[in-house]
Amino acid sequence: MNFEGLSEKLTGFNQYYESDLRERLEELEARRKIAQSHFTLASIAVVIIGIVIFAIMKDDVPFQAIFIVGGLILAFLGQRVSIVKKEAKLSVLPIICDHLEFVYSSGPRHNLLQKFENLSLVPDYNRENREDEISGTLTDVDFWLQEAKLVQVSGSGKNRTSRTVFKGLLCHFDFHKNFKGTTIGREDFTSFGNFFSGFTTVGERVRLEDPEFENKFEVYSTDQVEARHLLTPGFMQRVLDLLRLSQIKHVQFAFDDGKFYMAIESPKKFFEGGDFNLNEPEYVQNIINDIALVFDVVKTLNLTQVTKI
Amino acid sequence: MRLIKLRNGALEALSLIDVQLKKRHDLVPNILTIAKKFMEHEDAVLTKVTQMRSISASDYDKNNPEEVAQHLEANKQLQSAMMNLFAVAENYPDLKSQETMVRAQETYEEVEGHISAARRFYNSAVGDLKNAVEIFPSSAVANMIGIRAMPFFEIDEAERAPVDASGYL
Repeated sequence: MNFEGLSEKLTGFNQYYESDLRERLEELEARRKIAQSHFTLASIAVVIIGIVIFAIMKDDVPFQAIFIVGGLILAFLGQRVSIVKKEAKLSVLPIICDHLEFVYSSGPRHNLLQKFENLSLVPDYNRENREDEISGTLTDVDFWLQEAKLVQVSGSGKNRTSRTVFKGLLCHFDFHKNFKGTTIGREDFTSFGNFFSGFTTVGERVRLEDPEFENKFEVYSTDQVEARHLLTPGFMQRVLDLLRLSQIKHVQFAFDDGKFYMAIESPKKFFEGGDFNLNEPEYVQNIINDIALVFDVVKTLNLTQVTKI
Repeated sequence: MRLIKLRNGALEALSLIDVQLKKRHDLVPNILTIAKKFMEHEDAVLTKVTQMRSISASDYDKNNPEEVAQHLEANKQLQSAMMNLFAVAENYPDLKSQETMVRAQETYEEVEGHISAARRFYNSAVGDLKNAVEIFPSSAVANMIGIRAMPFFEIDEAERAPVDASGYL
């Protein structure tokens, strides 16, 4: 395994992985396997016991009791698997961040969700889960990011439904140009959707020259000239390039308070290492790849450029 | 009425360009003052900038497309003269290392960025107005009430490349 391609700063981490982390992850993987097998066996047992009860009692099957008891057992055992996975993540992610001189927190230290709401970068929601906050400086660009899952629950009782309306990263970066107003780039929802979303967005619609960009985004701004000063043809192209990164499904962005805000929607769960076993090098590599997304954003958008163009 | 709204939009965009052009107009003397100390043998270059600055600041009638075109052309010429000045300045290492010149240059670059943004906004507004004035039936109404299309603020192909001031100083 070689992490040196990502950054020179990870050279030390490579050594740490070999000397300390590998052994720790082996141990966690052994625990995960045991917890996973307990969960699998319990699932089979719950099904078999259910069938037996059904065969014996026939007309008077206590469905509710079976579901509650079975559900509690499975939830308890499932939780044990999750706890081991979280332990593994907390053994890896903070150390990687340390090597990169980033600040990591497993829980949310700052609540900027309201800011993203005010900028209309996330849809309406009434339940939220945020974790894995990382901040730091990357080639002179200060950044902050947090993983978030937003859910809209509607109805009550039997009609209660929940829908995930956003899953991905909320982040902001320092921007190299001075600006005073607010400029927001929202996903293009077609004419009908744009008509309604336009009411909730700050400023006036900005029509830009790039047809591909116009096709993907609806831009609103409190200052038409400033919006074009920020969204130069080059920058618009770079935002489109960003959409081509495999981890990104949708992007909504805003310029406000001297910062560049982005809500990056992605189907994947970040910083969990994918489906690999905890003792496989790919597990750690996957977590590093997720952090590398920040490098990709800064590089693709050329946020470090000093020419201010 | 849509035509009036579009014309007012284009006039407003033109005013926004003028705000940015005024910033450049005010900045040019500072750059000239510094440059003169080092570029004694470049009278032609410096004089050209002074002349174009003076012409570009002339009054004009915003409702007259021909005068607007002349005004925009004069400002294009000023930009060209400034680009030429920075190119020639390359031959003067002492000037390149002047802290005040570097700062002035950075400010100039920032102003050019704003001019470019204002130009794009203006061209967008002018494009909408032009379509309304030239396409029937609104073209007939425009003829009746005397609304005319306004000129685009175009830049030469050579100037389309972003201004990289750091390359000059």
